[in-house]
Amino acid sequence: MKTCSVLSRLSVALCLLLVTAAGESFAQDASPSLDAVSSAHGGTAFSPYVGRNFPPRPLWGDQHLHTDISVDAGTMCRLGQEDAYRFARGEEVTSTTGVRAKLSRPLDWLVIADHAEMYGLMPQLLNGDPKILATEQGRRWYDRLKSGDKDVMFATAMEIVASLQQPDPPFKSDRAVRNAWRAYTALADRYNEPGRFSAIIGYEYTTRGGFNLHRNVLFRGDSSIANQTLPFSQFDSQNPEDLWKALDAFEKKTGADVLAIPHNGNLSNGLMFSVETNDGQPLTKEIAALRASLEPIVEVTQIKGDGESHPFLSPNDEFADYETWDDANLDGTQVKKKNMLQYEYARSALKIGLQLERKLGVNPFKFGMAAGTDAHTALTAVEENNFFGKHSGVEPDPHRWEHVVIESPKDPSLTTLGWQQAAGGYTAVWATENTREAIFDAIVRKETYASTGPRMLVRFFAGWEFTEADTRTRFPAHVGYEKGVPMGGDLRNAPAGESPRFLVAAMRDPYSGNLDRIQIIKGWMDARGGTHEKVYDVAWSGDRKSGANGKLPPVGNTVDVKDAIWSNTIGKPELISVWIDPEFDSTQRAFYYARVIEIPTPRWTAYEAKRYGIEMPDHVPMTTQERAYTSPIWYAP
Amino acid sequence: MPFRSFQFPYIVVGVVAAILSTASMTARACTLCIGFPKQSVADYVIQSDCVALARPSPNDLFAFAPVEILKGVYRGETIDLFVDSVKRREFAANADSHVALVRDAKDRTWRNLGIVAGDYEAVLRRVVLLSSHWQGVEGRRQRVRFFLPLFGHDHPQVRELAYLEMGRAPYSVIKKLGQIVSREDFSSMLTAREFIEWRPLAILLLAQSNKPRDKHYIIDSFQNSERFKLTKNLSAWAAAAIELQGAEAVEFIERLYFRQTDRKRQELAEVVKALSMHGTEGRTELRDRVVASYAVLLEFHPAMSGEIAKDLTRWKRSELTERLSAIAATGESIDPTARNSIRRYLSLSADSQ
Repeated sequence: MKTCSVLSRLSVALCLLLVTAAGESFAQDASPSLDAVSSAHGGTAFSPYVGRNFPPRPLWGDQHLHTDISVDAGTMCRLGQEDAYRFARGEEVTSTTGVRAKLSRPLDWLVIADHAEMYGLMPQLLNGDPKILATEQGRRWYDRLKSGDKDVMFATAMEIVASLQQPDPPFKSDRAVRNAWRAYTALADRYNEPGRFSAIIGYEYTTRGGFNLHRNVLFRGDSSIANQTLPFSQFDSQNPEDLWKALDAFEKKTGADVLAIPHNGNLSNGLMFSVETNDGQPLTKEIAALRASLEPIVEVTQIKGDGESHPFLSPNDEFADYETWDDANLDGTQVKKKNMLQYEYARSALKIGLQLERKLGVNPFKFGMAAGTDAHTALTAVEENNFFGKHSGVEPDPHRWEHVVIESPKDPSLTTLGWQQAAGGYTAVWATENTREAIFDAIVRKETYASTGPRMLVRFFAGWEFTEADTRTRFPAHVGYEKGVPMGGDLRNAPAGESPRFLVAAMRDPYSGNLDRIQIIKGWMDARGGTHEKVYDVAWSGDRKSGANGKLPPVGNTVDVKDAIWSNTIGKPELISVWIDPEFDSTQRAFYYARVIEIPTPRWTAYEAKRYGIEMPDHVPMTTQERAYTSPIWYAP
Repeated sequence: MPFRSFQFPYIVVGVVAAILSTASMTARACTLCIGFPKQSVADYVIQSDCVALARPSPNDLFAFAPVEILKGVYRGETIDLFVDSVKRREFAANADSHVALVRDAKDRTWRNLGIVAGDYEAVLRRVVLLSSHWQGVEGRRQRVRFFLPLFGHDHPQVRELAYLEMGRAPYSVIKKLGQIVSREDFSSMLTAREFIEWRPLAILLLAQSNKPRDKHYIIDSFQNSERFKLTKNLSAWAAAAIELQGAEAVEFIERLYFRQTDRKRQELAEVVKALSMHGTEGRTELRDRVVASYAVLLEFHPAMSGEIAKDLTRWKRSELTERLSAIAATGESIDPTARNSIRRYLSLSADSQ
């Protein structure tokens, strides 16, 4: 950096002093160098971006995609991992059912998370791998799948899918798994292009299928790291704690870094964020610490429903009932009960985490927010007008809205139909660069947010010194990192008499709707251990005023359902605010996260109705208010 | 609401009623068609002491409150059921919607039968009204007569209820039904994934067809099941093949299942179900041939002795007493349930001699 005058040198020195002072309060692991921030900010260089080493833009990706390598997807989906990469990178592909498919914009990263269980069996089986055909089971399945008899093929596919629920694999071959795993990691290395596209290596651990205690396991490194192990599957253990132990052992043995991302908790019937161990004992500090260290973020929204909040748990939150799937567990074998909900939804789990932290000294539910598709089509397509469905059986088709997605074997009223699918979401990662390592590190520090599809830009910082003037900057990140901690961080050392201040800014996705509002959700624990929550509107479009009930009126609705169009004549393209917690108690643990809500836009069902000339029943939602959830910032006394 | 749900022309209903009046109404339901769920709405109504139509409570949108009691007495107790999002959407979209709830007479727990509206509500109301009479042979006949006209109904819940009820009817009734319903009424059940649980019923109905194409389809499917060692719908395919081919199909089963030592127990159990059904109420003229095949089965797979003993007891056949007695004495590969069936068979055989 060049400085040309005494005045300039003095400015730099002053800035450094200020930053050092602030840094004592707002220090955060892995945040950008404050030196660099201050050097870039404040006019000390001509270019305001010189020396910047904080994340400049969110990197968009899907941490949860299946291809034909997954044993269940492989019975229907004919697109493989290479197709998935090509599609995610913006190329056109043809779906299993013959529909041409392309993203509106390429993604920045992707985790192909195929099921660990019988990893890669299907393509090898269908290709007639001699070693698989040498086994009785392999030969039998092959003959059936190649019989040409649709009934036989379908029955076999169902048998193979059902085997995912069995405690023992009906077909076991480490060689077949190793072959498929190594082919995948090599392919990921080939498609990984630092600076442009990160092919993060991962797989899905699919335990206790009916209760959805599944996790995506991600590797920081390349194939040389990932090839030192094989995917840990439910056939190794159905206890997620054993997965954590295995991952921990792998890290210790190799020096490599791995993490796990729990799936949507809404279908776990009270098990995903349980306060007990897997075998029903009270949670221990050791297990809690293991979970906290390995599971930094959670998938809060995906095709099988949104899991941020539930209207039963948050009755005063008018936005809580979003794409809710809450009638049963994943496979429709157990009806939902009210008392299960608190252990399924992210907001509630974050509150329980505060209680557990007080009890155990560790918060196992100190997680950030992620989204995904869980699509079994190899197509990570989540935009409402470009939704390719949960699996290849519900790819675009005039009748897919009424087709069964998941059939309950016990009760038809618990069967899930096509229209209930959410279109899935993407995870935005504030990584310093587009590399596997930088994205992984950002996930570890929870500097992420979940979107239900639109690629809106959201910044969220907390500190003690933000002022109204900070909302007038065009560089909120500069001031955000300078004065505070970003999403996923910790806020400590409350100055006497001060309340935390939050700088939050959002900009709409140019392909999507304007913004209705930004909210900050606060959860806290009182002195007696009781937890509470409150939703604050902190920035909104128009000149709306809160009503007597304290609620901001709805933003309006421009959606023409018949033609599946809307106009951005309401809402605002960007919103920014500094919000000060009016009810702060420095003795209470708390968390804060931002929720950004779009104006209403057509849901995928409206596009479908328009495309195919379908009339859907009144109970099928035709509009949506897309949203983003930032990772929380935690305050501890 | 008036009861109107007739998919068949009245003339057909009349024919069906005539058939049913002469059909043999044994106590046994068809053993092949019972898919899932195991219980039908009618069962839940019969087993209940209270049936109510309900909507979300005005005080708690996630809890149900009865708006009309169709059966029994409701004293205001808490109903431990959750109003899920699909129902909430339905209630929000339609102020007249309601669910049907039933309270089990034994354990007093409540069960949600789902949204009821239109024809489905009319059917439910009739079921509540009539089901108390559906006991005994005549009651079961009335029950079949009630549901038969609803087969292929436009309303999906009514249609599925009829499928389930008819799938549980005696084979003799299904056989008659297959002669009067058109293939279009059940063809989707043969192919569409959402009707997969009803496929066995559709297969049995198809077996009543006289068309060569349908016959070939059944025989091919059964042979494919044998060749690929499939168990899914195997009992239905085998039963359909027996219906069409008679002794030839029994011989096929004997040769390619019973005489093969590598057949899995589940495969054997499925084809035995088919033989058992025909020996009991289908092509009963094949009973001698079936018993002869059972002798082969015992020789190659003594673990199947329990199933065989049950049929022989039912049919009052004593040919295999000696062999089953020997199996029981040695304890050859049989579980306690099978041993009890054999004991019962041997005891009845001894009594009859």
